[in-house]
Amino acid sequence: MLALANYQYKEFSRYASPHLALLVSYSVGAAFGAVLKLISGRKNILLPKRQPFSLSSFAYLTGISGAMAAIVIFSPARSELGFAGTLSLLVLGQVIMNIVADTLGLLGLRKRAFTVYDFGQLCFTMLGVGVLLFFSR
Amino acid sequence: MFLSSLLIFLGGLFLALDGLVCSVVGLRIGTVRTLLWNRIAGSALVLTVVVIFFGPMDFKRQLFFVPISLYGAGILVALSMAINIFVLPRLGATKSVLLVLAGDLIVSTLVDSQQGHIRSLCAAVIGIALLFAGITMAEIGNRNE
Repeated sequence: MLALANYQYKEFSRYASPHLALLVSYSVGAAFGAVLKLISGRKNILLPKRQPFSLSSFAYLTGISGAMAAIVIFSPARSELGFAGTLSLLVLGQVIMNIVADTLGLLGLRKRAFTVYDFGQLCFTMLGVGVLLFFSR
Repeated sequence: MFLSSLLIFLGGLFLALDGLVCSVVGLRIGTVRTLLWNRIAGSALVLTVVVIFFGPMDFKRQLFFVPISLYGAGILVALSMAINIFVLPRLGATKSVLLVLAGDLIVSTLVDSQQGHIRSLCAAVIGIALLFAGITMAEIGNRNE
């Protein structure tokens, strides 16, 4: 789905500016979310039974970091690195963020010590990104 | 290339943070409401950035020529986001996020190779294999806990 969306976004950018394409993508997504909410009515479909914590009202700003990511990802930097190079760097960023979140117990996650497996994951990912960026292009 | 790489890497950090926050919020208020809030807050930020940094654009004139089928990208992203919000707390952050990106990476490499952006397919395959090795490593670590 994401790969197809990426392709559509690229095609959209041929007709309008890339940032307008991003804005349209978000707006259509919001409209789609609103339709889903209307269909599901008052019932919280797909809501798990366990609700272990209270929620700060800041949590409703959840989309901010995603939009920041999208703005950065869909900048001209992407064309310089190619699809595969861009995605491999995204994987590296995600690996590091997930390890930090697990280790520090961010957002109420269960704290987990940094293990040799995390280190191995980090090394393999960095090697993979390096090979994709510097040797395959 | 260094600045581009740094920017995209930062994007990866933001994306992971978004996934984590969404999954936590999704556990509390449900997938659909989380998706809706995510898209609303995101739209507001993108609109602000567009207006501040690029000035008021001639939206109507630009959008007039775009084929209607291309508007589906937003729905596809929203759907994959909803799946992500639902699956992430159940499969775990590392496994779900990385599996999604790994699938995307394979498709992207195929696209790159078809468009002639890849000089050595062998190196690309080795690079992807190393990324998968990293994912497997994380999975082994999770099982051993």
